[in-house]
Amino acid sequence: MTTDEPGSVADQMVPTDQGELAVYEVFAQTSERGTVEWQASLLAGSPAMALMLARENFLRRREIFDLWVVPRDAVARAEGADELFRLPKTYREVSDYQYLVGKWRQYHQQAMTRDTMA
Amino acid sequence: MNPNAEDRTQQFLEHLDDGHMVEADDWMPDAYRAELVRLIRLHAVSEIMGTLPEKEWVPRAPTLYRKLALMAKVQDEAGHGQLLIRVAEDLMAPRGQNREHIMEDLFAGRQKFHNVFHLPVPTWADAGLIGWLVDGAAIITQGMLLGGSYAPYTRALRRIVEEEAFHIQHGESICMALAEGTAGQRAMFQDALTRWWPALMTFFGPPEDGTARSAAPGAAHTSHQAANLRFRIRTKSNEELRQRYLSKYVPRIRSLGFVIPDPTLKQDPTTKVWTYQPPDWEQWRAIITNHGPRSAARVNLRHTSYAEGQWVRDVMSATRKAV
Repeated sequence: MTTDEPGSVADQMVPTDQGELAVYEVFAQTSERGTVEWQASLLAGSPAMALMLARENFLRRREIFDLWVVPRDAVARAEGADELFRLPKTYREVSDYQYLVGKWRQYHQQAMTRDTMA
Repeated sequence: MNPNAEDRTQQFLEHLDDGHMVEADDWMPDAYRAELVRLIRLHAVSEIMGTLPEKEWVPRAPTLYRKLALMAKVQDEAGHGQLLIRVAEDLMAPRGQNREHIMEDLFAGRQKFHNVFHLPVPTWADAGLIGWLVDGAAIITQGMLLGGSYAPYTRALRRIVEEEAFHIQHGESICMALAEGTAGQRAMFQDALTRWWPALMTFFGPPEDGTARSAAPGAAHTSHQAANLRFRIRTKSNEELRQRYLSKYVPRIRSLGFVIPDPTLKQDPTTKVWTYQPPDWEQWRAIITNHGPRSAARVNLRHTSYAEGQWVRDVMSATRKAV
């Protein structure tokens, strides 16, 4: 990307808000098969500045595959515990079907016993 | 405190006792917030002020390799300060405060930082000793704080502790080279150790037993310690940390043939408890209230660079104006 293109890094360096530094949340993908995960928050005047600070402050020692900075104000969050609370729905959990392991063991045992008898 | 707030505080403490964590937007008692702000500000500013003694040796490092590694370490410490100041700011926001208040308090002498960063660093051995034995002490404190109840702080600490592991190896490497060096280099390290030992013994703060409680009004270090233990902001006392430190580092220092300047220092073979010459806690108090040998110079230096960097912050945050 050259500096002449609109939306280039140089263009983003010019703060577009009302002049206050804003809190940015930093997310990075730190392994090729990994997911993008929250890393830290920082204070910056523009997205480009936030990207630069994120790289310099938090990600010096590791290879990164993706880097996002998000103004904290842009994040929509669930209200809290009530909204996040899930009714127990054990039929969604693998653990609810663990009895199958025992069943299979039982059937294999029976089959083997049958074979031996035969 | 009204009955409602009392109930809420009780519920909050039960929440902590059940091993749960606290997030920045959760309700918390004022005292919990105040203790956290106090601790995290102290930690953040200590990281920032801790860059100053070490950076004095960047231009004088003996080799290019040592210079690059020391610069990397100084950069890490500044990054830790940035991380921690954000954590403190989120807690200070409900009071309408931010990092500017922390800096103003530092420049006005109202913000404390760790005793070790008020001291001079006259030789390269002192620089190495900071990396090995001061960072070694810091990682013992930080490792303990990882078990704390305030989630944003523990997340920052995980990142910090990861980098501190490099710092200790870096410091050990400098000290090992001196220990295996010439008689002059060994003498330089021994001098540094003799100089720094009293500061290392006070690094973790006074013991809880009250023996070090100052007669001066307002001396409340031990009550902060008790409150932090109750709030599970910390999980071990100052004395437990000091004992752990002695167990880890005294044998290492002695194995290199250096002499710790405390003839009374010994470990009980059965209880494993170390006894030592009680440090001068009055001198420690004088140092952390900015009466140390380098306190004024370092605060002034930080103030100057803050003032000289103002134009950068202005440019980066300036309102776009018609020209």
